[in-house]
Amino acid sequence: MSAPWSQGTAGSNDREGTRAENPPLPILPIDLALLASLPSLPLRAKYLVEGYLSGKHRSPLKGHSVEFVEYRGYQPGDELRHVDWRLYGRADRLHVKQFEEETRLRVFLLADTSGSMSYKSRPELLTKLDYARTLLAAVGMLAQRQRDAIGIALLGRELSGFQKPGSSLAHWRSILATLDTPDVGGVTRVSSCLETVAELLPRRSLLVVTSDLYEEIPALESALQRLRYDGHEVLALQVLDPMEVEFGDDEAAGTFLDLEDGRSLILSAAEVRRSYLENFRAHQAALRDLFAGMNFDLATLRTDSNPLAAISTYLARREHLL
Amino acid sequence: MTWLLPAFLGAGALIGLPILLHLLRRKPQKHIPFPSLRFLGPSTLRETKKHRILRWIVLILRCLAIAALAAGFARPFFGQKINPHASGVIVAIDNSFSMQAGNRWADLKNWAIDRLSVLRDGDQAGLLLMHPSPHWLVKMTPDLAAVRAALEKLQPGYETTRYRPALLATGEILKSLPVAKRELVWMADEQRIGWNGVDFSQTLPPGVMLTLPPELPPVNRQSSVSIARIRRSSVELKLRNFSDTEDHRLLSLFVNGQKNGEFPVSLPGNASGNRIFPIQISQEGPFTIQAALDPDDLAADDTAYGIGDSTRGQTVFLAPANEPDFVAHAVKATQSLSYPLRAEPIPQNKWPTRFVAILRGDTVFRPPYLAALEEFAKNGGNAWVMVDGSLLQKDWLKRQGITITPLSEPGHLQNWDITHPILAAFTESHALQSLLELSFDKGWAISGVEPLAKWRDGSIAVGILETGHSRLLITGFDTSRASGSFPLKTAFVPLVHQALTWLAPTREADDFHVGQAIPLPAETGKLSINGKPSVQAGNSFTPTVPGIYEFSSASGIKLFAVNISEDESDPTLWPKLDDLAKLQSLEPPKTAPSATASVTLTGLEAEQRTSLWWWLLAAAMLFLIVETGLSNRTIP
Repeated sequence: MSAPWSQGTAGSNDREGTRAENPPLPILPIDLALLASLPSLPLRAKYLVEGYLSGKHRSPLKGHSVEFVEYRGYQPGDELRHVDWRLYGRADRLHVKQFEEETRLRVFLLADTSGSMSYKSRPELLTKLDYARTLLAAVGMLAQRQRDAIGIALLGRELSGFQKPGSSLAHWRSILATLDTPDVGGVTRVSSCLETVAELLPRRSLLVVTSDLYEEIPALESALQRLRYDGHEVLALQVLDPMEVEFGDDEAAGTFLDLEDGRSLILSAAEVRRSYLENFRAHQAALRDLFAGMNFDLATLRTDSNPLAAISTYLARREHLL
Repeated sequence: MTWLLPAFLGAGALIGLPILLHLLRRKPQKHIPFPSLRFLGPSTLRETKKHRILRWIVLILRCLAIAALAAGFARPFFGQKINPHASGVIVAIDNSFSMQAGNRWADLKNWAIDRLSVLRDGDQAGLLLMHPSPHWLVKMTPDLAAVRAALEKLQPGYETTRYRPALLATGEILKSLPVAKRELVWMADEQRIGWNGVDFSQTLPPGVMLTLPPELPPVNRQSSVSIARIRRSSVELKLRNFSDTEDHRLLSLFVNGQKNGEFPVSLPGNASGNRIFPIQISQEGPFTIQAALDPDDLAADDTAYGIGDSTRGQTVFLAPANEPDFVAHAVKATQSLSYPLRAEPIPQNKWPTRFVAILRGDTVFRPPYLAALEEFAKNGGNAWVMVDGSLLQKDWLKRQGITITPLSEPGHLQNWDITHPILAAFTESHALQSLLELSFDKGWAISGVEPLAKWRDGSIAVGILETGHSRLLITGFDTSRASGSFPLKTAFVPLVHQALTWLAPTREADDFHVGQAIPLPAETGKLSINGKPSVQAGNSFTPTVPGIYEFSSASGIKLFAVNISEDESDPTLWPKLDDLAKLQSLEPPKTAPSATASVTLTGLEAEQRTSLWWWLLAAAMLFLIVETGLSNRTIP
């Protein structure tokens, strides 16, 4: 069962009309059990991407390159290197080529490696981190196929595994290696790490963050404001296990251990479900409000759901905007 | 708090089991990793605390259930703890009237008080009256002053001696006392009839010391009087002399409380006989007789009481009828018989039940007669209803469950039930033939009654209805000439006489003994004895002193004569006083009293009265039910 708020993007909530005009493209169903059984991260990513591409046929992550737009008459002060001399030969008049700004899409992948991401409530599911890594690898693979620059960093107690965006195949392999062997555990300070990333990244990058976003809202808001100020675009993929969303296992009674800080509580899920869900939903609502206010995208994904569904929605919207 | 079965308290140690389990299982074995407990905020933590409290409550309930079960089986009660080194004394008191002879009562009472005076603080004593069945006057108590005061205040009774039940009861009571010394103080005159039925080979329980009274002086002069029969002009008395020598006494007879005669009597030694003494009765009706000898050494049996009735025959209330009233003539014709009848006009307001009512016509079924009729029927009055077909009579009978239907043709009586007392006199006379020849021009078939005679068509012509003490005779014809020639037949007067004789109320027994429950004719009324101020009584009462008792209620006045048992007058002692000493067991006590012994009769009685065990078991069940409900809501 999925709650109404568990799929989709926060940013798209303010653009219902746009979504209606550009619905997500149909995607092939994903066999989550098969996905979980695939032995390596590249394979999982490829499985996802192939599934996605077989439904779309072209990449929506089209960036900006050196593209001609129009001619205009030469004016004093224009750089002579922009004069089209061939046209001058034919037309005997000076024209200047006008281009779009020369930019490449910089996709920066950020993976939360906190202890809470190592959780899975059922054996057949991926852990939240595996699910997130697969997602990031798939996104990276999409970007890499159209030669966009891809960077990566791991969010933990401190930022680690930082690699500047690059587009070479070797760089891509290095990114996959970083994603494949993260050091999991402990408490993550996502906000602090994001602020560090903002210091390190050039302006105007696309940050794809996978995390459960168990973060204090004010701290997260501060970090996101910084990213927004620097012109970055943020796609937050909040990865949650079904148990976190529903807290619905009546048999779950005993000592609950916090995977991040190691705290323990003796309780029964059935007894505390109501208050848990109240708190959880309040946090989710605050997150949605935060991302919507920043005009960033937030997609909440359950590890028992098709990971492409939310990405597809996001990419469809992005394609339209572009 | 004292425990009847304290060994069960050991089961209370089982309380440690749930505590141990609680401590061992305090932390659940099941560990559940979870991404973050951040959403298990204060309210969730409150629930966790609540859960922890719940588990403690469950533990407490388990402990309470075990404690309540253990306490319940240990049979607790509130009672005074008894010093096992103390003495326990029961004074068994013979409260029969033979104890009134001479100075027996005073002497024996002083002797018993002396026995009690040796008791000290911490000892306990009780007073047990032997008759009519053993019962506590003062239960076992350490308040020795109260016991002595009660004994000093006690007056002799008028009961009959029976020692065996008291002997058995006191033996068992003393046996169960956790005291070092158990003593039965036997305050009795050792009358022979009291020891009858006692098996002297069966001793008192070991350890119970029997203290017999000192030998009593013989009764020198003892005679008794009792009433054998009361007639209209005489009273037959039974006189007995229990002394060895002839006794000359003066007998006084009182009728209705007034002296009626005085007779010197000579009573041979050790003899008894009946003698008849004349009395003068000036008016008809019930009267009281009191026969009193001048007092001897045992004055209690020197007076006898009785109830006589000077009424001759039966008075009949006649409802109004047209002339000639053949029934009135028939009643008048019985004057020469041994059981004469008298006719009186039926009164308007009150019909005493000692009269028989003849109900005919419809006048008696109208006010003001109707109210008197209903009261008469309610109080059990007897009546003869002569059916004449009047509407009011028919309605009244219907209310009694009797219906009448007019015959379509003249009726002939047949099938008389000759076994019925009304017809007993006819079986040996030619009058029976005349009954079989009776025919009526007008007749009514009756239903709802027992048949006495039937019409030729099989319907009931004469029937009776008996409910409790009341009798109703119903004839499906009247005695008017218009109905037939029955009044002219030879069977008419005998049948009227026999029917009214049968309807005449029978005298109930009114001679009773002390201690015998006497039924009263009404639920409420006033009871007085020998003319003393009356008290409220009803249903029944048990007299404790002899005399004439008068019970007055709405249904009238009823007299009862209450006498004492004749057997008790014999002062002869048990011939072999050595037998009494045999009752003392020579064996040592089988179980020495110990400081831990706590089973006492008083304790047992107290425990049975309080029934705390029942409440404890009920509480245990309640704890277990609540525990079951709560434990299902806790983490295992």
